[in-house]
Amino acid sequence: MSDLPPARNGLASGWGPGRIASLAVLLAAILAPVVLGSGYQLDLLSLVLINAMFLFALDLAYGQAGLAAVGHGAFLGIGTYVVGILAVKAGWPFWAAMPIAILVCAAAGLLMGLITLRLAGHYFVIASLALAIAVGLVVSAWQDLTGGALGLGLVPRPAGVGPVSFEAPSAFYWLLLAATLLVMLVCWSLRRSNVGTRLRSIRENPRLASALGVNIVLTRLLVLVISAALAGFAGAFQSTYLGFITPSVLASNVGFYALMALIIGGQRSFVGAVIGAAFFVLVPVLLQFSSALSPVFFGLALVVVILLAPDGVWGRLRALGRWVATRTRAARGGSSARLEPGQERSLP
Amino acid sequence: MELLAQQMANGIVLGSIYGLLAICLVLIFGVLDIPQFALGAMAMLGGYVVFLLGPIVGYWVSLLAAMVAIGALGAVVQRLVFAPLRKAADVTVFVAAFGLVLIFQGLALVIFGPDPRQVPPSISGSLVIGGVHIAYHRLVIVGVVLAVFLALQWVLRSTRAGRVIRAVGQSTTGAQVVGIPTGRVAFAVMILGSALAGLAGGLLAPISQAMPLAGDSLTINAFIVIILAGMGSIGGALVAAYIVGLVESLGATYLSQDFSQLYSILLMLIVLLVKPSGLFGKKVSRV
Repeated sequence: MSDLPPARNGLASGWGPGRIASLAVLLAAILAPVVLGSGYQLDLLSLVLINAMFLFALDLAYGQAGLAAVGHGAFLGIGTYVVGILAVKAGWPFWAAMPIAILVCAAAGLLMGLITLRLAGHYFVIASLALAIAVGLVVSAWQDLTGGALGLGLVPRPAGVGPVSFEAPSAFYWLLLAATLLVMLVCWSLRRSNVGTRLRSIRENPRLASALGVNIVLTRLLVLVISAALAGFAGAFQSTYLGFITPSVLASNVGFYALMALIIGGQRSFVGAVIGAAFFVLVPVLLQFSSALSPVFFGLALVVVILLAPDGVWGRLRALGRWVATRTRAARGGSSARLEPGQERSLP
Repeated sequence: MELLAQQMANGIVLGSIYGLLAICLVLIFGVLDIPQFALGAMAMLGGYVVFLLGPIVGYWVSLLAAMVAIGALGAVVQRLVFAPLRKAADVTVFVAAFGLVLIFQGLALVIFGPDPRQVPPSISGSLVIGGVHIAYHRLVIVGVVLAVFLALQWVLRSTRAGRVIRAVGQSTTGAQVVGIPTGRVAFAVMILGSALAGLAGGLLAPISQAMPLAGDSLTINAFIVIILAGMGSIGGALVAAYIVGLVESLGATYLSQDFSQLYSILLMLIVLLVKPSGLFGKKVSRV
């Protein structure tokens, strides 16, 4: 699966199933408050957006840079706590605290990268997981600053900008949607930049990339820092969304669940990340009758997806779309034998 | 002084449990290169087997049953999940293993509920030496782990099966070239490692009770031990496990209870930074 849709000729240009689905999702997302009103469902959808932001950030580290970032939940949690602490203890407005959260997370990402990026494969995974656990422990124990297990509150909603207020659920939702699109734009430009090209070359063949002068560790460090900063941005919004913060936002399984959601949805794709975020938020709601069953369901779904569809739900849907397109073209008597570039390549 | 001796004894017991799981990891992670993150959860299930069968057939038979049951579970997991993922990326296998953790924990929660279940020890009562109380069961744990270690050491060093396992650990391709059926060896090693995880859970259950989340800290600590020790030898893993057990127990007593998990993590990070190959490891692979 290549990162960008391959350039195609003729009618299909720019209107692949991915493009159409993205536009439909965007339209639905903008209209959601009008259709759903401002109740519980909009609340869930807001949570999906926050998780989608985080998954976009995670996908940079995981999908693009190939880092098994199981400790990434820590950045989301740090961002959440930085805004929470600044708002509750120092009375900072959201708009001043959010940039600080981004900076702190970028610094934490740099530190984590410096410690862990020297390590190969599984060692990176365990070291980053251990660091994430350590952050959680410190936050739980540092009661004066974080409120410890009792939690921290209340974090107010962001102050209005000019005549626009974000107090109403629908307005806050649109703010989240704008923030999500912003994160998407950042990720998209990074993928299109020469950093993205370097990342692709590292993914395809690390040794060749290194021989061609790509500094693997430095490139990955850069992406890790950007990804951590974006996770902090998502965390800032999570902080004001939750209002009341407990150390559970820093639990070590946050990162694991996020990776699972991303893998189930489909990595290296915005739609896949959104599917993953929706799955992550909605499964526990749908399985409300038994809270113990939802991890079982998650685990089963994950194992099945990994075994049967390594490119995730969206990867399979996309393959289905291509298959249908090829069939209809063949039925119309077009050039049926034409193979599209990168069509049937599976993930490494 | 008595407190120190007491805490050192506790640390050695804790270290023995971590050590047994770390030995499982040396087999499964070191030889097969499978980051079996669900070992702790499997140990937890082993504890429940002892909880269920212990009152009926007695502790020792139930312990054996736990090994058989969890070994069988390992076979199923290897067949359905890890064998098909042989060629998948590192992360994928890791996350799949985490999926297994969720499945096992969730099932334990559904079947047994969240409350801890009391499990009677193998031998009740405790030994008192100079004011230090050590439950007999804790001595049993230390002894069983040492026995398992010595037996495994003998198997790996001096038997044909052990040579085959070490050959696969060194190089799967090389082992295949000389005619070793690596798939079957992987299957056997996975069963052995899982059975030992079941043993660890069964041994631990009387002192920590059986509960769904019992496996989490076990897994983390076993991986910390492996990193501390460096991959390669089960002896190194056992020594590192004693160190982790002592650090945790003494740190919790003399520094702060809140951070008991943090001390071993810090120790691991320091070792990683200073000597990435671990205390007893030989080679280190880089990106």
